Amino acid sequence: MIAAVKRWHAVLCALPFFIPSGAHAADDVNGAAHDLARQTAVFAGPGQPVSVEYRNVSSLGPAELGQARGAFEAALKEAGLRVSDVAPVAELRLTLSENQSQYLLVEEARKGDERQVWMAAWKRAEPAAAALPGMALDRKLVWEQEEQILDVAFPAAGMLVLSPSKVALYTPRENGSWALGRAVPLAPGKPWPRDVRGRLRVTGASFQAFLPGVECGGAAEPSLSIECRAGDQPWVLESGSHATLLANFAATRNYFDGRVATGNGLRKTMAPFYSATSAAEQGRPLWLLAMLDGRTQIFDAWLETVGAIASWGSDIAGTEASCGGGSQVLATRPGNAGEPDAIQAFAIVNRAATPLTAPVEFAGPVTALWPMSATSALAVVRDPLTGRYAAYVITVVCGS
Amino acid sequence: MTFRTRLLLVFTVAVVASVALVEWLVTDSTRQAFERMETQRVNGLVAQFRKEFAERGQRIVRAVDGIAASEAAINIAIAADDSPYYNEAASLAAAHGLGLLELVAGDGTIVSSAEWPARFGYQEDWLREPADWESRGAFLRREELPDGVTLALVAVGTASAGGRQLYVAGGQQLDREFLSSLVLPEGMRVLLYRNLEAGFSAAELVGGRAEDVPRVQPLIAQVQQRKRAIARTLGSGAGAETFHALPLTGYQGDLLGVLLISSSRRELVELESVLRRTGMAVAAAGILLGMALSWWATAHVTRPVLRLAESAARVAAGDWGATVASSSAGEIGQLARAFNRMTRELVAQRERLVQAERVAAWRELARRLAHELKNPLFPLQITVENMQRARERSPEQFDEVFREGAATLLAELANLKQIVARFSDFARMPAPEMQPVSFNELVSDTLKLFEPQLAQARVRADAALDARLCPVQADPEQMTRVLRNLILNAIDAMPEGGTLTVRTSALEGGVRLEVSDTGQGLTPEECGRLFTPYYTTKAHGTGLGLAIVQSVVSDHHGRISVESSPGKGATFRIELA
Amino acid sequence: MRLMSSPWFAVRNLALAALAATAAAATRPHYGGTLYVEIRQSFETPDPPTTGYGMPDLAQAFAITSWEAGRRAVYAAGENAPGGRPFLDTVEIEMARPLRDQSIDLELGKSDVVELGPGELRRQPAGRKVWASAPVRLVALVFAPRVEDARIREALALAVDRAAIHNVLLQRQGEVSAALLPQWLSGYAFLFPAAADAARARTLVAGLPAAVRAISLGVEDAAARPIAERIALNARDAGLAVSVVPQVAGADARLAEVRISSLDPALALAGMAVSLGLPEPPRAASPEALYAAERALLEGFRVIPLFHLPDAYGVNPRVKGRPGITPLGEWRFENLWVEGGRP
Repeated sequence: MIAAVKRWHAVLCALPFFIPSGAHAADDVNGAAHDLARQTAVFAGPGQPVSVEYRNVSSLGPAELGQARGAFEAALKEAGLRVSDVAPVAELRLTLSENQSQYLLVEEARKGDERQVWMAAWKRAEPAAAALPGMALDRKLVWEQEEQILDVAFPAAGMLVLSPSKVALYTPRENGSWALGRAVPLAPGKPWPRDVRGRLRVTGASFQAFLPGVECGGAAEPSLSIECRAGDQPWVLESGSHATLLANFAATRNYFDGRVATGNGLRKTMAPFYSATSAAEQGRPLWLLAMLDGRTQIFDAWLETVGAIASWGSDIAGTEASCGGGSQVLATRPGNAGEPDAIQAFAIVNRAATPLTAPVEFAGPVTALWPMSATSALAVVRDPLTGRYAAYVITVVCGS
Repeated sequence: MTFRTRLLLVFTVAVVASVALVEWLVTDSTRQAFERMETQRVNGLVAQFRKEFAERGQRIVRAVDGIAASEAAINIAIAADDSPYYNEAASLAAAHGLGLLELVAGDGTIVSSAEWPARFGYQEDWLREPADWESRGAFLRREELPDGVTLALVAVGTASAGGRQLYVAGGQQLDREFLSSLVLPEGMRVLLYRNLEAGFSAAELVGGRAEDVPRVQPLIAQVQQRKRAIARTLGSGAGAETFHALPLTGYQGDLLGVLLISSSRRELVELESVLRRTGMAVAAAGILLGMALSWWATAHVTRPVLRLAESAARVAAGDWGATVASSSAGEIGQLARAFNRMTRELVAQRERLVQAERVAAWRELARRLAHELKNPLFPLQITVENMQRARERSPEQFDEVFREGAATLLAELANLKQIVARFSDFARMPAPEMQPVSFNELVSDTLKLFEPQLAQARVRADAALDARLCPVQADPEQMTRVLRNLILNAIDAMPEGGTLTVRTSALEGGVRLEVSDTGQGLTPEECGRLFTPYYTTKAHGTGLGLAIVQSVVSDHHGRISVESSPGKGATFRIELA
Repeated sequence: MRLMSSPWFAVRNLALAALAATAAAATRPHYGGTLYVEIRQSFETPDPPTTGYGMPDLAQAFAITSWEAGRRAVYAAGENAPGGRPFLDTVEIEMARPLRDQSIDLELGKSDVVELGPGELRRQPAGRKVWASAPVRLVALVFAPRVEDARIREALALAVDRAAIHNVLLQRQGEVSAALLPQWLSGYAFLFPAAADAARARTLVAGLPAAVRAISLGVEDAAARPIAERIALNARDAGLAVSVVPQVAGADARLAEVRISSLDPALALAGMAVSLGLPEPPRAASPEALYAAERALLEGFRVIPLFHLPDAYGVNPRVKGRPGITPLGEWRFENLWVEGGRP
């Protein structure tokens, strides 16, 4: 019985794998086919007719199998053998297979009572990222990388990407892609907490990077530089173009510890929360804090509880697009990390969330959602299959 | 055996025989009546059991139909992939109280088997045979299990949905547990022989004991041969059982098992035993009563006869005056009166005889005395006449004649005195003074005393003395005299010499003394008169010796006899006990 | 290019997708809470195991705080664990728990992570969260040295109907295999024929003396007993009398389970050979050489590979985060968190 086809999780590509050396390590399917054809020619004898059967037990498609077939038969011909089902001197069966690190061409040859097996392998290529469908809310992929993206900002010099291990500045290319300008490593002194979060705040050419227990300041020009020190400075959470909240982040956790200060000087210690944004309901300012228990509490300007929303995820960001009441809250969908997530725009009406747009679906969970501008926010999404992180700019497009 | 005992025996035998016959007749007819009742009862129980067995089958049919109609079965029937249900049969079987259950797809493939879970995917083609399973009800079937083959009562149902079919084959193993679950009246038990192998196998007998196997095997063989129900009584006594052997066939008519319903005959046997014991008790009582009556009757009848016999015995013992009371008017009375007459005559005759003997004895004594005295008297007379003659004729010779004559007179007077003394002795025999006497010593001593006389007579004396002889109560002086008399007689009987043998031998509590000689012997006539006083074969002597011997022996309550024939000597035998 | 994914993860994703349709609470990981795990295995050692899979894997990010041999172990999050302190405060592991009881506890919400037995993966209710590794467990028949006649071993190898067992008893969990290394690891497992050949098996048995046709098959794991009994039935069809016994000591053959210990096929094969009592294979530099080495190990039928099975766990919906096991079945609980209390 032929083993069932197995498609393997690309996460294993990050693990150490065995690269075979030796006679049958080919570069690609063509090389593998040639290797096998040479072996077959010696086995069958020159000028002899051979019959060949093909099968695919790998995750590669018919095209790849066809390629392997063509390459093999061409190599057989080159080696002086004829492919024919009429009175073959040898019967061959070629199987396209794979393991977790290589593709294999496995040839079983039978000549009378004699049986031979040869294999040729070549390394598996890393899978490319899949193209993802559009969003209702306008979303634009701005960056993708293996390492976790904490935040992305766009100073004049290019694109700053904050990751747990570094801050990188990318400069735009003519074709619209980004080239790495410079990356400065971050050395926090002790390991980051799990589900590490970070925030970039760009002011002109300089920027601040907020990380748990660490505060960094740097400049993107003339070249990227950054200086970090341990500290407990509050993060600046800007919401839209008006509201600002200063909130202290727990150095060994993934949430704000509850100490907040509003822009008008009000200081208070709340319950810990994951994210916060401001919203306006009929002109009255409100603060919304996504608490640890999964509910988003609504506070008035004095940070008194006035309501709660239970149907949001833990990441919220505020926009002030001119439509939708002038104040929108982008919120992730309640769900489990690792599940496909979505971002939807809501308005606060009567202390309740009213959807403004259809949800924008993502293939994986949203790991970061920060307001970017008055009408946009940055969303970082992790692909659960590939493990890569992608940063999207979510723009509230009026009229769509 | 006495007349009374014989009569009693006859009466007893008659009573016993008649009572036994009546008892047997009554017992037998009662037993037959009980047997008939028992047979009817057993038949009724067997019918009841058959009904119970059929009911079990119905229960299985209902359970199977219930499973076939259940949603679970429908789901399995219509499932495109029945592999998830491979364990379903076990839980369904448990829920419906079945020991065996197989869910089989329409193509005969086992989906799930409760009794053999590993058999999923195997074929059960027999279910696809054209058969109306619903109407067939429960039937017997040979079932294969992981640990062997068994017999099962199964039923088949079908679940149909969406053009697809699922067979539900469920049932119960016919094993010990099944049999023990059947409700049986007391005294009944059921065995099952599973006919799964050729021939007979003791291992296939379920519900029985080891001792049942040899009993039921022939019955099973008969059922196997004839394929019909057979009833037999097996065993004996209280352990006997009536077996009804019923053939159990499969749905194709093959004999798959034999059901043996046994009904214990213990109750009946016990009843019969009670009956028998009662009968015997009554018979025994009757016999005892009969014997008692017989005893009384025989006593009543034989008492006069006994009295007659006793009187006859007394007469035979010498009491000739014995009479019998004769109140009866019948033959016994006549016999008694005749007896009495006889004894009276006997007594009279005896008296006359005694008188006559006395007269004869006196005459004999007088004759003997006259004879004995005549002899010494004649010489006396001659002597005196001689003396007279001498005085008258030869006074010069008178002194000598007087001396000779005086001597002769004195001698003859001494002789006369001896004769008188002997007679006096004989007349005046004293009673014996009994004491323990060692007869061996007595014989030895006596023979010693006779040694000179024996030597002179040229008689050799042999003493054959029994060493086992113990002292015997006797008068030693009298017994010595007896022995001396016998020895003297023996010496006298052997004038030319010979051998004298004295023999002692122990008798039970007594002694036998024999004195034998090798003389000329005696004729039978002489033997008969030997102990008569004054009878002698010798030329001299008083003839009292043996009479004295006899008298002494008689006083010792002994017996004396003589054994002799002419020319062969004589043996005198004395027995004291 | 199509994305690579494994069927077991596909199943998991299906379950997760179904779960996503129902509303849940916060999406960001929570710090705190205790993860309750139940396992069948019982470690009677005075100290927690440090080698193997499962509990030893926790040592990276957790530290043992309580150890009751054979009963219970409690691990606490390490504050300085690589990659950051785990979200969970503690992991509590209850040992020696029968599979059926584990399922009930999961159903009642008394447990967060339980083991799923063979064939149970497919039978999980819709929406049940499941973690499944790659097929890393080899189930094989291993003969004792005293079974000297190779015909017996070959006959049993030919008699076993792997497809039926895989289809029904294992509910198509894992894969049928006649190779020591699974297809996903070697790429050539399909070269080892796994189909049953009852006719040839019968021919081999017919040439055996009757005395040697009876063999005992030891199986200690009660969950594997149905597999052993089906093998015994297959063997019976071939003329072998196989009796299933609960002890492996003294049995002529045993139903054994061996884990893949490395993602390196050569190392994995060497480790498997050691575990199965086979000679150490030569180091293979290529798939072809590895195939030859594996073939050499399986000649003689001392070991008859049957299936490669994944580790499968049923997971309480309150457990969030990425799957807590790696493809090799190693526990990775540092990125898990729990929401809500335990009922």
